[in-house]
Amino acid sequence: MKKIKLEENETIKCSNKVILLDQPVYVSFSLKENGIFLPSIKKGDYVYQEEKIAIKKGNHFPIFSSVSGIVEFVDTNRIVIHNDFKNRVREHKIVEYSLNTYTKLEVSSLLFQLGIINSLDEEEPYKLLSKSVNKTLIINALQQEAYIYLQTFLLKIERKELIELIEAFLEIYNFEEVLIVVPRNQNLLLEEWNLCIRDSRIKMIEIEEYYSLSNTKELIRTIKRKSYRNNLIENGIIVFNVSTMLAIYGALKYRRPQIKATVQFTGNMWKNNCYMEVRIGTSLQEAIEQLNYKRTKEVLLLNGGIVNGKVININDCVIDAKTLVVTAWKVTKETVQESCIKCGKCSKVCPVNLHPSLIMEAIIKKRNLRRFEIQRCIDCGLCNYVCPSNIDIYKNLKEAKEKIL
Amino acid sequence: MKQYMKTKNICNYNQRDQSYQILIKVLLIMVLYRIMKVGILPFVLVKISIFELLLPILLIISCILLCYGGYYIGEKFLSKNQYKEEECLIDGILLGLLLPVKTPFWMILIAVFLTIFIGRYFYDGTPIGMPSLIGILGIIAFSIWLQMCHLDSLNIDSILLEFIEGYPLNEISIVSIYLGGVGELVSKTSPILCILAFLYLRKNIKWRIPVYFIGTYFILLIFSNYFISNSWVNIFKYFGVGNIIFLSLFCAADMRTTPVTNVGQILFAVFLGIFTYIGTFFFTSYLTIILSILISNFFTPLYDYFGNYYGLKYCSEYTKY
Repeated sequence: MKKIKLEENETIKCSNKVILLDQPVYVSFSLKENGIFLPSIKKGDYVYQEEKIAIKKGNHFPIFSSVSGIVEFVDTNRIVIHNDFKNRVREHKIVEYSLNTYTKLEVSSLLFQLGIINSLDEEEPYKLLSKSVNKTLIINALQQEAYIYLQTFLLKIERKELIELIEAFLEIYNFEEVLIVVPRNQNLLLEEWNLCIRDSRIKMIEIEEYYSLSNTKELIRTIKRKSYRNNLIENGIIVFNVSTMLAIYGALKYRRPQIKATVQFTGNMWKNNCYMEVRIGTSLQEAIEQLNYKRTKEVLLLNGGIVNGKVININDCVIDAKTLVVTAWKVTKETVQESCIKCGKCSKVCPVNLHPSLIMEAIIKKRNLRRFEIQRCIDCGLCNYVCPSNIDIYKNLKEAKEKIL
Repeated sequence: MKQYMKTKNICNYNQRDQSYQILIKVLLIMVLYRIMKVGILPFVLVKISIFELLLPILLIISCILLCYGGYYIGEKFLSKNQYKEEECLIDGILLGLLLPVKTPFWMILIAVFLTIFIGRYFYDGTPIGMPSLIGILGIIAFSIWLQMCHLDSLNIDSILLEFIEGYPLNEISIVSIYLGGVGELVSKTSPILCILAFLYLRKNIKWRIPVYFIGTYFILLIFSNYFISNSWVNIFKYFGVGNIIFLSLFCAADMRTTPVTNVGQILFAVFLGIFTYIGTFFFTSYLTIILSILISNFFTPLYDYFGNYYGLKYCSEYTKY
């Protein structure tokens, strides 16, 4: 794979401040985001905080309310709850459970019952942890893209919780090793962690970051110096990022579902680039009001980083457990899609040696696409990022890939 | 969260315009150098008249203006939304550089017509060859036809001299060739300047093409020199005299007509070298390089086909997820 390093503008920095947005007026939950969910409540019902409000069609994987209040709206697409600001829960007593006492089956069952999801685009944690052979656990705290530091930041501030969970996992699953992957030049972080690590199976790994490491298989190849062509889980490797680990910790320690998420707000448009702890389901509009954000046509809002982020609309966007980063970027020129000049920049940056401009030409001319091996595409979005003609290559590639597969 | 599939390029959007601007800047520097060398200096030394000094400038300006005219007509009636204004400007400058300075106006009109309408708008908006070379080749063919019809009154002999007859290499010094003082074309600028331009432009063009092309051509010339025992100086004169470095550089800058894949670019350059070498036995080096580039452009999809095939076949095992 080609090692592409994204350049960062040094003037864009993120403060280590965490803003708390604890009381949104409304929370909204999508019922079609990660599969089809069926609501278990109806309009006008009163729901408690952490109460089950929908279940997934087929396997009954649940969604929980992050606030208490009255159901304002329900249809097949979403549920909207009006917050009463009382944070009423059915069970008031907060009990701390010992993590070492769980069995494998209990962990998986609890993670399923509490609806803990994986913030990476991988299988849910209960599925990954239920497999019989678990050899290696990788905790990914890498940056992934330019201007994103959330995972490293969480690794810094939630050290105790993470170490407790890792040690419990070592006991429950008997992992051969737990690898915590951090970006290079984080000496202070490494020192702090090394002082706390008591088990020799826990290792800190420093890696020189490059863009393709956002692909899990590439990350593992870099760490283990070995490539896996089949499913990683069959080889006993599990990869979680720090956000997912913290959600699992909350579920096992307090037996409560995840109702809050930490999101990084980055880009060249926020006055204060920072982290924000918000209730899941909070509307983006409400969250960014805290940041003195001024709406202009020149700003592009993205869920994710500047390369692979998806353009979002401020009016109908809510923060869910998978939202890790919101980028606001000032666009200096109106981005108009132009014709391909065949400069070959997309081929040059493609981590898996595809030739996106030739594929695009074949799609337009309705030629056979098999010879281009589109199935190799790892959805990194770099072709879109570098295209000087602003062509939406990624979208076309994804459609062609779906057709072929 | 509602998301849209489209991911917009937000950081590098201006790159396309920037690369055209750099290319235009380099072209203009080359023009200025050549005008300085064969225009202003002789004018100061009272060797040429003011009309002769202004002729190359007028040629380039008229080519640019006519190309813009063609572009606006084309966009209005045949628009395929492919051709950009910057490309039109580059086509105009290149055409002005490649035409002999004494080309009659009616011939410039034909060249512009061929460049814009055959080179750019013909065949679904995708150029089949480097557009300005299509224009040049068109007027060469037209001139030969006129000469065959014995229309001597049209004064085309001096034009054909540049294209067809070439120069006696033994009579020209290598220094004057490499400083850009030979021939009537403005494009016959200094090959040393072309090499400097290549070093400056290497990130904005497909650099493999000039490197592999000149490498192949040079190896073939050395190889034939072993049998023919031509003088070594003549080998270097071949390079300098016939626009070979200049055209290979701007052929690599014309993205649309050259391969995208790395292997394709190498194949393109190697075959371009072979075609050019074979061509030098039959034509002047200027005509040969024009024909070779156009033939190679024609085979670009084929080179890309192999480039894609071998690129995927021999790439690292790791990428086969």
